[in-house]
Amino acid sequence: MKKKLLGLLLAVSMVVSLTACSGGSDTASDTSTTDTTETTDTAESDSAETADDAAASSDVLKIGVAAATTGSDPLEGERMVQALELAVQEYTDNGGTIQVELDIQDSQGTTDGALNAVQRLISDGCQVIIGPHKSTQVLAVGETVDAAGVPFVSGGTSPNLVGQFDTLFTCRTNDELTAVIGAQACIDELGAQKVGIFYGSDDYGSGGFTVASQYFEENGIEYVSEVYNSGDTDVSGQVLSLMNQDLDCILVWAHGADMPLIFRTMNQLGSEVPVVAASGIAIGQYLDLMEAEWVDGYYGIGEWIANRDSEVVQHFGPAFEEATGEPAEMFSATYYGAFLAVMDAVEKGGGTDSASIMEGLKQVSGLSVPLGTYTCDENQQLLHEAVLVQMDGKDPVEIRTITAE
Amino acid sequence: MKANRKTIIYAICLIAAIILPLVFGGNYFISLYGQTLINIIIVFGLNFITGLTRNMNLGTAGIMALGAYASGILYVKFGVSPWLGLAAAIVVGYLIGKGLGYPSLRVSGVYLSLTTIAFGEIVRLILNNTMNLTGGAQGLSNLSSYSIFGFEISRGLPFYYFLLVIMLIMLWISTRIVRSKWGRAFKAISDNPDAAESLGIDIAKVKVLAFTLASIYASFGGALYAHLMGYINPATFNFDMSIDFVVMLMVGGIGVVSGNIIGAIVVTMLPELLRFLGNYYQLVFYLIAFIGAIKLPQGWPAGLASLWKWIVKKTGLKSRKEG
Amino acid sequence: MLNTILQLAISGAALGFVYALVGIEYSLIWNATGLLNFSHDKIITLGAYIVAGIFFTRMGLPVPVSFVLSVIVMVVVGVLMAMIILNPLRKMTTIFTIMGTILFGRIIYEVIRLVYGSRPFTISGLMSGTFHIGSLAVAKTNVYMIVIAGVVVAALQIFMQTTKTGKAMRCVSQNKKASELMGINVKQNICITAAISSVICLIIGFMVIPLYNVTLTMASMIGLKGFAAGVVGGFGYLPGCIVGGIVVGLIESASVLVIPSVYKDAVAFLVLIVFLLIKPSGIMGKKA
Repeated sequence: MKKKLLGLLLAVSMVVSLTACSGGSDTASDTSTTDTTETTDTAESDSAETADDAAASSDVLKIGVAAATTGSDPLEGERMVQALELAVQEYTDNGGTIQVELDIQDSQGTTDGALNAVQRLISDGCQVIIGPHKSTQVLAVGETVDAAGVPFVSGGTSPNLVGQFDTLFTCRTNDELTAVIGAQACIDELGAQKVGIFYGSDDYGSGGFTVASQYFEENGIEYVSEVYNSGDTDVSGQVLSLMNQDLDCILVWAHGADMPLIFRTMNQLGSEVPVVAASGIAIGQYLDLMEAEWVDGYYGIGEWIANRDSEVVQHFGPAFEEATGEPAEMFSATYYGAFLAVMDAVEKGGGTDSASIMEGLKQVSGLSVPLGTYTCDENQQLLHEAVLVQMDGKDPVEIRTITAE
Repeated sequence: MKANRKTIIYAICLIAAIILPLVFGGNYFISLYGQTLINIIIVFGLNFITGLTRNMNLGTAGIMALGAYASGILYVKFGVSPWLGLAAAIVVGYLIGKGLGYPSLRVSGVYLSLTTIAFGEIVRLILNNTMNLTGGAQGLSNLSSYSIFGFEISRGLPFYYFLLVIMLIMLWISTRIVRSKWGRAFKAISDNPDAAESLGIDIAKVKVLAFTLASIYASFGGALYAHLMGYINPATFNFDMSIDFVVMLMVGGIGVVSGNIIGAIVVTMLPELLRFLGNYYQLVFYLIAFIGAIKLPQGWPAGLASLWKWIVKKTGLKSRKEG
Repeated sequence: MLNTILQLAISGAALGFVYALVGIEYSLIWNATGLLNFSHDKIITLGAYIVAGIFFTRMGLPVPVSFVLSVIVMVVVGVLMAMIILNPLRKMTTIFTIMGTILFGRIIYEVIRLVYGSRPFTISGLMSGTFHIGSLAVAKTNVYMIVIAGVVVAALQIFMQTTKTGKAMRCVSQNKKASELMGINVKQNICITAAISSVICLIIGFMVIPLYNVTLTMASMIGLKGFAAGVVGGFGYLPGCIVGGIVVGLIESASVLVIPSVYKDAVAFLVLIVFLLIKPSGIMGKKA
């Protein structure tokens, strides 16, 4: 009897404290220095405030951030947060007139966690949301965000996202384009007649496979395929199979995190087949895990190119490294750009409320960001370009930029 | 006397559950409450197999996934109503229960936990790689909600009450089962298998029944989950989720149906509550759960009750001495 | 074709030895305490982070020195684990022992993440390179894994058969009550066992750095598959773990010839289930 009473008390007190604690705007931001090298704490511009559920006044812009800082892929969330904190800091330092606050909620890298994070951000009164990053999480939260009428910006690239939600704006080039660029490179750069597509079984890999295979079919190129699972302990079977099929080139559509395993295996087994790889190949933190000879000469899709001749690129790279002690890379570049888009939207839309930001985002055009140039199209996609690179050892060398017509 | 007290407490709980989303509302909380209700239902089921008969089941997420996908695939591919999807999920659960139940007779203890883990992983891998049927890693989207007489139960407040009603029904069913001869049989074969057998209880049959019940609940909960979220993909139903359900069972106190409710509430809500700790909230939650596991094996309510008794004793003693 | 089969056999065998070592490290604890250490994959990860993260990267020490220092740290870790987890838990029912070790593993995971961050890193050039035997390319990593695993097993067997502590450990695994009555300090034994198990975890973690790099999830798959190795070979029987590990590794590797390679991961689990149902005592198994 007492047991039940106390149990009840426990549950009730938890629910009450849950509401009490989060009644105030919870700007739990990620301040722990978690890198192996020294980092400087970027001063946070968040502060605890009483919640203001109604559309906020035009003085305060609350940006909600759904970042995967825990879970199986915490690097993604960590870089997203670091980039946004840097961006806000710079905006304020450069005399920005609007008071910007970041409300950072952990999405735990799961669909449930992403939903809870986004729900939390909405009820905290954020006028715009950045994240979640992964396409599957975007799919899980899209309806909820649509219903709340809050615009959200994500780096998800799945073809499934195109035109799916009214409030979604994507800030990275969709796989519909990058996979075609990859497939094109097989034909144009390598003159391939028979291609092997080696892709991951998850949403990203299978999405790329669908697009690339379709392109090959339309152009009369023969192709075969092999699949691996993210987290596989060994891909020798698949690589050996590809090596035995007399291929002119292999299109590797995998996450950067899986590439060290794949390329090491190819190298060890003595594969001499040329490779065109997805954008992970040009991401610094994964290249650090590889040897130069594994990737030398491979082609790839590049998104963040550090030595590009663009003002914002030349600024962002060193600024990020100075602020965090880590080199700039794709995740950070993406979300720094997302912030620039949001601020541009506020200006164009003429207000910090959700509706104005949504209108403003639709009008973004020719905005220079670390990944390239943002121009919003009718599907609310901001970026339509990618770079074809060739690896010189571990350096991605830009060959040309390809933009969608 | 005691019975009246109990009824009053239950009445208060019921009223609290009804007015909760009205008092502490907003989409975030209501969504959280909905997830909690589904978790409660699943833990009711887990209680039969891991709680009463003490057979470790670490594959609950896999069973939940099958129920979710059964309902989801029927809806997306064949346009079947989600209500029938629920029925399908029950059938799926029944089949899995029988399917897993018989082999589980041969293995027990840690071996069973390994088997169920393996089962969960295999389910996840298959769901991930049969793209034509299940949508593969991209999952199934646009799963609609349930409709009654043409009115769709919209997500949010209406769906919460819908889930609340279902949970209460399952609660009633669970309580009846636990109190019935089956419930006693479940307990008997875990406490003292030899004695049970000598009393004529067919251990095999009882074990399989427990497994089947657990599977039905899990599968049923999975279908509800699919239509609550509107989107499912295989990566959600992983080993970590299976662990979470067992933690809920442990926190609430094994075997007690009301404990299941409390356990599910605590494990679903506590991490959210701890978000203010920023980067450390997961660690703190696991530490709390871990200390609970070692020090409070009877479940947290019982643990708190003992703590209360101890406090009362200390203060009681004091006043008696002074008196 | 023959080339392919040989390659698959080599990589399968090499991974098989890793699985075998995983089987050994948890079997040691199982034999001593009756507990299945579900946190072992996190201990392996911890070992890798310690040797690569603290000593090699942060302190810049050469690899051999880093390794030796890490051994000392892991011994401490093992003893702590024995005192905090294993001893209290082994008196409780199965559910709590399983959940206790699982939660312990999660705590370690979070601590590693908070201390090291989420960026993967590696010891570049470690065990890299390939031997060429005729037309066959054999990764040096694979060879090292087989050799190191073999040495560890041999050393362990010698230890168990000849030293007093080793014999005591064997006694404890067979019959705790009798061991206690014979004057063996069971608690101390468990601490020593845990220390040895942790050092083996360190070795495993170190060996797979070239394969999976140092990340938070580097050991989750081999942790689960290591269970299969132990079951297939004979639960708790150390030489059985070797056999079991190699069998699982080879079957897994060969399976890509027969079924779509995407299901390769499922193969190990399938083998696990089959053995649990048909022959739970494993290939070389004795009834415990």
